Amino acid sequence: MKSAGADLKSAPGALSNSRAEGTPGTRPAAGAPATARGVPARPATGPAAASVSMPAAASLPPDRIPGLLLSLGLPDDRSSRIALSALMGEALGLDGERLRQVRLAMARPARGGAADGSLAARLAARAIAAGLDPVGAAFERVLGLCSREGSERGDGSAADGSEGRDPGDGRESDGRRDDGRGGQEPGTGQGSAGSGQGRAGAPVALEVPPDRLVAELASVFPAFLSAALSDPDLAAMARPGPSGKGWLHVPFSLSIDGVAFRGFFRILYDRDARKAERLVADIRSGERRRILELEPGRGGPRIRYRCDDALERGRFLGESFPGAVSGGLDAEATVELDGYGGYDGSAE
Amino acid sequence: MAGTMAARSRPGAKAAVALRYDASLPAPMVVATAVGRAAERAVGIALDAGVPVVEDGALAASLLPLEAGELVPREYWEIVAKVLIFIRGLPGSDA
Repeated sequence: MKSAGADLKSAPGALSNSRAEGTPGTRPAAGAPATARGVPARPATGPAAASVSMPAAASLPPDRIPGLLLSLGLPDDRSSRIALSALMGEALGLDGERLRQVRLAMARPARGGAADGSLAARLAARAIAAGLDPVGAAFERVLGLCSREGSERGDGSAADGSEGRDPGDGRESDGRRDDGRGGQEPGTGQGSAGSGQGRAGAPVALEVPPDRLVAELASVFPAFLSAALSDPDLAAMARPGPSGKGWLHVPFSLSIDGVAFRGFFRILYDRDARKAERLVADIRSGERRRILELEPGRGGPRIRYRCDDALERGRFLGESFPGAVSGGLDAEATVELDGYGGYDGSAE
Repeated sequence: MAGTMAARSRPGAKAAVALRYDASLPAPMVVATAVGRAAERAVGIALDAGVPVVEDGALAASLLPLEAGELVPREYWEIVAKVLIFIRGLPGSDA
């Protein structure tokens, strides 16, 4: 595929080279500065004491990982494996400098939502793929929005860490209570995500009859997506990488009959097809975390569900989710290395 | 100086993205987008006005803003909804 930058340069007067660095679908040349929100960025690549470049790998046999990390001058520990998985999730070449950049992002204190830093690793890899500083301003803000602290308030600032019921309890509702509407109208309340113009991840409270709940929720989620697409940092971090694909991060916060949920969606989309190829929901409620992953499959979406409670996993497989599989959270951080294995149960 | 790029961003749907740039701007700006017949009209107007037109589907697609409604199938959102309802029904999830 031709790069957009090359095409832009071929259109006299249409675009300058400076725009090409920030144009969706393009990446600056190695070492060239990229910017997000006007903040100068460090080069995406740089000198490394030991750097072995490898092509983007579709799969990496487990027995090759220790040798690969050793050849890149990195320890074969969980952080390196998470970093490796993050780069593979972006179809980026595996080199020591990039891995070090991702490990550096993971090491930043109290970051990432997930205790193992997998969110920070994925966002750092995402920033590299998008041509941004892996620990720059956009990375920091999106990390804040998607992590527990950010999604509590929806603005990336520190929160009070409250748990359980949504303290707002409808005060920031968009009017989606049991008013009998079809759920398609944009919200009108302050803080609404329903308008598509609200803050990314701004909370929504739902109290609707049970028979309308699925439809109502399914109408609310696209509003969170619209808000994310309107956010300059979330949009910048979603720029497609060299593969033509990008992960869009969509923070959400809502309550259903007073039970609070927060977290974020990671949506892998294809720039040219303009369709989502995979949707991963990182769901927090109280102190519990669950991961739901959906991707196209024969006969309907493939459903993967992760949580740390084996009893809950069993209950999930007993629900009406045909073909679903379930597993623990531990393997999620290195899912690209594990070939989407590590599931301990199937509904089939 | 301004440019317009037009191409089929997906089968059967023509798309046009109009850009404006001059030296006073820090970067080119997307000033208009159109799809379908509106895109064809926009391209015609641009050609009549002597504005450069570049035909490139991938480029037009990359410049068009993603729309929430077309990105994720509703079926996915319904599954997410059912999973949240499942979680809500678990013991200890009633706040």
